[in-house]
Amino acid sequence: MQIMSTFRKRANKPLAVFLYMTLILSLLITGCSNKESQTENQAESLPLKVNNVDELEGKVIGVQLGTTGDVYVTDYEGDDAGTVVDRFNKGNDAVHALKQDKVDAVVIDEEPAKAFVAANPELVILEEEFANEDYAICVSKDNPQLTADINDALAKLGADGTLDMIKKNYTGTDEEKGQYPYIKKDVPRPNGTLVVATNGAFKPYEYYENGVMTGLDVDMMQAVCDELGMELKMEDMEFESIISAVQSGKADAGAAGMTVTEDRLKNIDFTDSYTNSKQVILVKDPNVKVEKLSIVEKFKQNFVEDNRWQYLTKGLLNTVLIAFFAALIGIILGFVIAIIRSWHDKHGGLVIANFLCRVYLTVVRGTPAMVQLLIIYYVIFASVNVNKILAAVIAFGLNSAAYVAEIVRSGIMSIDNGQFEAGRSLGLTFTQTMRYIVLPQAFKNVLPALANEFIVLIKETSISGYIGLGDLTKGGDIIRSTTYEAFLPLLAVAAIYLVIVMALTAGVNRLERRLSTDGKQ
Amino acid sequence: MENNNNRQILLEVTDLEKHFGENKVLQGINTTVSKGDVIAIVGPSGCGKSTFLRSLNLLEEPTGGTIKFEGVNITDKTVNINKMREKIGMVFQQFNLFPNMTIKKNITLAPVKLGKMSQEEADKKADELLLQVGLPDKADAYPSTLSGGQKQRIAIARSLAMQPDIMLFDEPTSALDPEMVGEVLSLMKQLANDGMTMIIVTHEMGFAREVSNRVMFFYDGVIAEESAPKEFFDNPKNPRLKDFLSKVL
Repeated sequence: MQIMSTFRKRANKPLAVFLYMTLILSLLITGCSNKESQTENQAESLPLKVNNVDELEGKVIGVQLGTTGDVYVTDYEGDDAGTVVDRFNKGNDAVHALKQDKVDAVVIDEEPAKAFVAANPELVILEEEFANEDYAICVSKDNPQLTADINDALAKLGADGTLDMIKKNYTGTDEEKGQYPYIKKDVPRPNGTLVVATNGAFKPYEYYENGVMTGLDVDMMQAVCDELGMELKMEDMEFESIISAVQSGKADAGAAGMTVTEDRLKNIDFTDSYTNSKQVILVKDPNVKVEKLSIVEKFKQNFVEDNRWQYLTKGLLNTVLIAFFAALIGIILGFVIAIIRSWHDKHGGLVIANFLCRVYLTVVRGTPAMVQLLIIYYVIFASVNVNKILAAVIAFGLNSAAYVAEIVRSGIMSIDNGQFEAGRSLGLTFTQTMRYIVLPQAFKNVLPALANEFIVLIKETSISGYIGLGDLTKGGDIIRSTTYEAFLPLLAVAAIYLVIVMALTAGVNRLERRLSTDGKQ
Repeated sequence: MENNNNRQILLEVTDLEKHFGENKVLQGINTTVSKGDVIAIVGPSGCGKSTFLRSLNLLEEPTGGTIKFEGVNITDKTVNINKMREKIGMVFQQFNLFPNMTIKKNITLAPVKLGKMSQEEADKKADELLLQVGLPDKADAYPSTLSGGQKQRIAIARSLAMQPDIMLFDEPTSALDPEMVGEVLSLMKQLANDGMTMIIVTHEMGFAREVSNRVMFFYDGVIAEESAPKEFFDNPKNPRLKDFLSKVL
């Protein structure tokens, strides 16, 4: 495997290599043994855990957070039968949990359920449907004109049969599927770009194929844009973020197999329905034998087919970009804050600046990074269409600065005041004394703590997916959502983070050695 | 002080006070320092002698009174204190060499960063100074490899590199092992002989007697007695000074 050969090259650190090999081997063994236990359970015919809607009571039910399935199932939660609802960020994750018997049933939209069953033969859809519902496009309440325009376009597409063709292409019979791909029309597009929020793990409505998002909603929105004379831009994000993205103007509309519900109507407008669907119950059939893929086949499926490794390399690039520039902001702002705070401690003065710094430190260190990221993107940049990477860089940079500031301040405090006085008594200014005398020594003292902070920062960027940013973790998630396989993509993502952190640690160790020999020659 | 009349006045201290909260460390110091003066300040610990010295370049901000250096009132907030400090050298008890720089860099940092010399000029000056303090082979060494006496000699060279008009010594030999005190005192004596104006807070009575032209006895935040060294040590008047001398001599 590629991952293992990467480690083998680091033969100069035999212990570390040994530990990582052990870790990976044990993971591989666990991963394989899981599969084996699945195949062993087939001696006798076993009953399904849930056979109809009534049997959901008292069971563990998986749903995708914020979907209508979630809304309906919530009624069962906390009932006397002890029903538990597990809410997952993706339908995929819910299905994974079902496959691993972590939940007893999953309530999900019919078409994705069919896609899951097609890819996972051990799953079955119960015949009794859970609920019927209509899908529509959501648009901000501030934009009734757009709602009207899309309704006109939908009416036209419905009348000329385009909409039916698109539906057949994705949700029709096996013969019809794939036969009616919508071709983007060559029309003038004078009316700007329509940004449409979606959640690209909801086959067949929206999903990734060869690195491109496709699906019923995508084709339909393209057809609508062709009618409106607009460019289409699909924005991938978490499902529960779509409505807030549309409300805040991050996106003009949302198309994600979204059902019209009363709660949603309080916050957002919906166009006319373009298709209807059902919520169905998905369960695992314990009698179906799962075809066992070898590790090589799995590797091919997850990384080689459709060039899926590119999700990881693209994600890695974004992760590195975000971490690098966030670290840069963190260092610069952190040093400035540390200096203001030290000036205040030494000289009094700068009362207001010091107060602001303390408020900043308290707020940033007192709230989770993920909440800060969401606030930066959805609240502070609500009305500005800001690049997601920029928003993430700012959020993580501001977050890191608070920690860097306190680390550097502790470093400054660790330097004897005599150093400061010696500099000042020679006529050097406060800034010169800091820059040439105090900070270099402080930096050397706090280097291990700073390195630790940047290791945390790199890993913390993995929450970027919450604003729909395709970072490394999200790259792994996309692969997971296409291959229905958790083990290899997660392992690969973990290994890549590990390699980045090891490289950073090695670099810091070298720097530390260089700085320490300086004082001992 | 008749022998000061025809010499330029460098420092004029008027009613200098320094309080740390309730603690009145300096309670009205009045004195003048002329060019070429070598003043030894002695007194029991806690009498305010170090605070006085540190007030002279505003490392301690005075609570009241004025300090005029070369005619400029440096306690005035509008005065650029950094410019004034360039002319006031200071040597600390703990040496305070910069451990992250070579000896040469320690000496050349301030003159170069303050634009007084180019790096080449400063390097040349550093070589001269290292020769003067007897450590020409230590230019590329780091402070951690030096003995205490050597560190203090380098600290003096570092101050001299700024070509100050006056040098303040804050107990320069108190942190040294006894066998190293001599090398530092002999360097200071050499400086005094070359005409450097110096104020030295010290416990070395023999040195004060031999090298200084004025000795001050600090007690309770004031100059309790001041005279020429012979008079000071042979014929003390203040009973506190008599008591002090009887303990240290």
